[in-house]
Amino acid sequence: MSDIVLKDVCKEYRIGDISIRAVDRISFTIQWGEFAVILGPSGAGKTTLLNLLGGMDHATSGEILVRDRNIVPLNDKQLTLYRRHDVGFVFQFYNLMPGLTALENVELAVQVCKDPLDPKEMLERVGLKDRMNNFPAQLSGGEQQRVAIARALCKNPALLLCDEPTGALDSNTGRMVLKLLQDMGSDMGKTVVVITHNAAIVPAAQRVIRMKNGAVQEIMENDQPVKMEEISW
Amino acid sequence: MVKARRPARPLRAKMIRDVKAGWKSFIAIMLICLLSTALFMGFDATWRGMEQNLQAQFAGGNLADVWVNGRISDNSARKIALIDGVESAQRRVVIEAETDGLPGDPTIKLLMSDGMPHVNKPVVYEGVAPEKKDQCMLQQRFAEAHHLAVGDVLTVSVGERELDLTISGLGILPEFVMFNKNGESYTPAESYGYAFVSPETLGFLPYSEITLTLKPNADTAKVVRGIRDLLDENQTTVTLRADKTAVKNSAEQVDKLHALGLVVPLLFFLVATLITWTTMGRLVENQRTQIGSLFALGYGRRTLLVHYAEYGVLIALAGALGGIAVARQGFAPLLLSFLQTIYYLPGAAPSLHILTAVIVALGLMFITGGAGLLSARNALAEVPANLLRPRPPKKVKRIFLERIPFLWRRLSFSGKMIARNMLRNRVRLFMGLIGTIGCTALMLVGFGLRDTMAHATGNYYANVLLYDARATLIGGAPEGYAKSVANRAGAAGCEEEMVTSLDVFLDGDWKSKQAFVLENGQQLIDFRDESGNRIEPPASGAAITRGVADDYGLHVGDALRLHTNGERDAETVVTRIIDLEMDQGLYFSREAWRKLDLLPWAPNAALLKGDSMDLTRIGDMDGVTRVQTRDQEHDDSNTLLQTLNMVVVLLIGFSGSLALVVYYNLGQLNYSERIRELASLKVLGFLPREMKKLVLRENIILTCVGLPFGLVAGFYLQNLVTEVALPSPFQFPQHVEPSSIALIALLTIGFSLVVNWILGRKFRTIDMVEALKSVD
Repeated sequence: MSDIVLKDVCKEYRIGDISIRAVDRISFTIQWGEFAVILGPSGAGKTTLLNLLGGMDHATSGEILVRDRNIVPLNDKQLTLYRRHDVGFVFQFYNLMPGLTALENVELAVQVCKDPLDPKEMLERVGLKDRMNNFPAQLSGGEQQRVAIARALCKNPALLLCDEPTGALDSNTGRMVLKLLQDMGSDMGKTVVVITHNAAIVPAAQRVIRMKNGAVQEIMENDQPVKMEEISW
Repeated sequence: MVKARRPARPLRAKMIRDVKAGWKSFIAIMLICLLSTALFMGFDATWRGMEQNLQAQFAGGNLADVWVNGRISDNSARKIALIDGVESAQRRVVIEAETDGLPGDPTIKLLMSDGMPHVNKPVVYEGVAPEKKDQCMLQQRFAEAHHLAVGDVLTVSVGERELDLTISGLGILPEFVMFNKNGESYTPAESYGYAFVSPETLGFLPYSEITLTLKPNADTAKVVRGIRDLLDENQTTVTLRADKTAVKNSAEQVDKLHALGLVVPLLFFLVATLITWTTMGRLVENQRTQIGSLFALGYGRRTLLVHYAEYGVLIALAGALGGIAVARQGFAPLLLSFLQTIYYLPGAAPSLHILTAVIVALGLMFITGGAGLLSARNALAEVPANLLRPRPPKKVKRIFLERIPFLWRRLSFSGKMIARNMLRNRVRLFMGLIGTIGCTALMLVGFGLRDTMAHATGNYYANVLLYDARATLIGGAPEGYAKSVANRAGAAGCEEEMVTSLDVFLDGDWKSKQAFVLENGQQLIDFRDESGNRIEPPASGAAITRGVADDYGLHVGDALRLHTNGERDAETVVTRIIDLEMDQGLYFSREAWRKLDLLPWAPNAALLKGDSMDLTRIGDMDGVTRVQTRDQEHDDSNTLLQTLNMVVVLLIGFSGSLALVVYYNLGQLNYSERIRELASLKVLGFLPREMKKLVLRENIILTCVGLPFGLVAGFYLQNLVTEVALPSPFQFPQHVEPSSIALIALLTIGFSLVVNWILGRKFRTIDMVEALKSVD
C-alpha cells in the first residue's frame, strides 16, 4: 500500500499586496500506519501543513497524495467527503459539542460515516465507560480530549491528525493522551500524525519531521520507538 | 506637564467600530425600536390630532351643550335662556330637502337659526357665511362630491316649495363630525349632505329645535330639569352633547385609538427588549478578551459598563428618531385618512406630542441601555485574568424531555440535538416564540379586519337583503303608491318599508334610535337570531338588533318606553334580538307598529324584487327621490373596505418586518454563538446540507410551534381591535377566511425559510481553520 506523499507543497496567504508563504515547498513521505510527529516552534507552519493534509484548507501548489489520490485539486464538496471518510481530527481545545453528552458527541461523528465503529465500545476503549452520559462541561480536560479521540477514531478513518493534542493539558494527563493515541494507532493500524512543539515525545515517534519558517529542516526515522510511558518530560 | 484625563476617546472610537462591524444586529435592534416607536407615536399622534381637530371644530362652532327637539313655541327659547346655568339658547329650523339636478338626487339637510347663529355656528373654510336671504354654506365634502363651488346655485325642494340657494361658502357644522342618513351606518357624501342657510330663507317653516350652551360649571342635571319643567316632557327630547351620536362616536373613537396605541406597541417593546438583551449579550460575550485587556490596562468597571450601555442607548436613539419620523409622515397620516372616511375632520393633521416622544425615546434607551449594562455586568463580574483565558464549556443540563425516556428514545439524533439546543437557550426560545406569535397575531388582525368587514357587508347585501332595488319615497306618499312604482319598474315583488327615528328611554334618558317598520310577513329582509334561525319582527313588541341590546344590556322581555317627535308615547317589550351587521335599531312588523299607536303607517321606501326591472322608468317619478340597486348600496359600503385594505397592507408590513428581524437575529445569534460547533461539524465532514438540518431546522420548528399560539392570540386581538376600531352602528361578527389563515401560515413560515436560506449560504463560507484557531 502506498504512503502519504507530499511533493513541493506551498501555501501562500495574500494580505493586500504582501503574500506570506506559510508552507514553503514541503516534500516528505509518511509510511502507512506510522506514528509521526511534526515538530517545530510556533509559527513554523505546522498547523497550516496539518490543515492542508486534513483537507481543511486548499494548498496553493504542489501535490498531496493520500492513498495515491491527490487531494490538492479537490473542490469543497470532495474535500468534505475526504474529511468525512478518510480523516479524523483531534484539536488542542477538543472542540466538542457542549450540548451533547460524551456518547452523543461520538455518535454525532458516525452519523455521516460509511463504515463506523461502535461509539460505546470506542468510549470504553478510551477509558470513559462510566462518563459516557456526561456533558463536556462535566468532564476534565483529559477526559474531554479522550472523547475527542474516540470521536475521531470512531469514524474509522485511515488518518488521524492531532494538532497540539496535549497543549491545554498538564504533563501527566498529556502523556496519557499521547499514549492512548500511540496505542490506538498501532492497535487499529491507523496512521497518526501529531503536531507538537514538545520535543520530549520524539523518542516515541516512528518518524519526526522538524519544521522551521515554513520549511522542513530535518526528517528522522526511528525503527525502535519507545513506549510513551517510558518517556520522561 | 499636564496630566492626561481619563481616556474616553479610544473607547468612543472602539464603539464606532463595533457599530460598523456589527451593523446587521445594530440595524436589527434599531428597526425593532423604530417599529415600536412608529406604532406607539403613530397612534398617539393620530388620536391627539383627531382630538385637537374635534376641539377646534367644537370651539370654532360654539358647539351646543344641549339639544332640545320637538314642538318649539315662540317664546320657549327665550324662557330657556333664562334658566340658571344657561349661557345662550337659539332656535333652529331643521328639515330634510331633496336636491334638484344633481346626479343620484341626493338628500340634503337644511338648517337655519333664528337670527345670525351664535350656537352651533357653521365653520366656513372657503367663501363667507350666508347672510343674505337664499344663501347657504354648503357642507364641504358634499360640495366636493358634486363639484360645487362658491357662487354656484343649488336647487332644493322643501315640501311644495322650490328654493334656489346661492352657495356663499363651503365649510362644516361641528355637530356633524360624523354624518349619516337616518337609519344608515355609512352614507357616502354623494348621496347626503347638509347646508346651513341664511336667516329667513326657511321662514315659512316652524322651529323644531333649540340648541343651547351652558355656563362653565353649570349644573347640567338642573338645567335639564328646568327645560323639562318649561316644556311638555312628552313632546320634546333633550339630548346632551355627550349623547349626540356624532359627538359621542368621535369621542369614543379617540379613546379607543388611545387604548389601542397603548396595547399594540407593547408587543414590539417586549421584542425590542429581548433582542437587545440577547444581541448585547453576544456582543459583550464576543468581546470577552477585549474586556479582559481593557481591564488589564486599568480601565474601570464603571467606564466599561457605561461604554456598553452607551451602545444600547445609541441604537435606541437612532430607532426612536426614525420611528417618530415614520409615525409623523407615514403611519399617522394613513390612520387619519382611514378615519376621514367615517368622520369629517377637515385639515386634521397628526399631532406629535413632544413630551410623549421624549418619554418613549427615553424609555427605549432605558431598555436597550439597561440590557447592554446588564449583559456587560455579567462579563465584568469575572476577574480580568479569567476573561483572558478561553471560556470553559457551557454548563448544560439535561432537559425535561430526557426524563421521559419513552419520548426521548424516539427522537432522532438530530432531533435530540435540536431539542436540547432549543431548550437550553431560553431567551432565544422566548424571543423566537414571541416574534412568531407577534407576527402571526398582527397579520391575523390585518387579514381578519378585512375578512370580517368583507364578510359582514357581503353577507348583509347578499344574504340578508333579498330585494334587488330600493326606491326611496317622499314621506307621505299616498296609499298604494309603492305598488304603482313596482308596476312601472316591472318588479315581480314589492314590499313597503318605513324608517323613522324614535326616542327610546334607555339608561335613564331618551336616546334617539332608528325604527324600521316592515310589512307583516315580509320576505325581503332575512333576519336571523343568534343561532342562525330565521325570525320575523313579531306581531307585537319590538325586535331589537344585537348592537342595541349589547349597548344597553337589553334582553328579551325587557320593557321599552318609546316616543316620537313629541307627539305620543308608548310602551312595549323586547320580543326578539336580531343579529344584523348594519342598521342597528328597532324593527317592527306593521301589525306591532299599529298596536303601538305612535305614528301612522307612512312608508318611505319601496323594496323591489325582480329579474328584469327597468329602474330608469321610476327614477323620475314625482314621489320617488332615489333609486338604488342592492349592488350600488353594497358599493357604497365598499368605500370603507378599500381604505381598510391600506391598513391591512400596513399591518402585514409591520408584522413581516417584525418576523424578519426576529428570525434573522435569532439565526444570526445561533450562527455566531455556535460558529465553533459549526466549524467542528464541517471538520467532521458534514456537508452544508446536513449542517442545515442539524442547526437551522430549529427556526422552522420555533415558527411552527409559535404559529398556532399566534393565530389564537391574533384571533382575540382582532376581536378587540374590531370592537375598538369600528364605529358603533356596525355590528360585525368576527370572521376569518380559512384562506387568510393559510396565507398567514405560509407567510410566517416563508419569512422563516427566507432567513434560513440567507443563513444557510453562510455555512459554505465558514472558515474552519479560523473558527477553530481562535479560542473565543
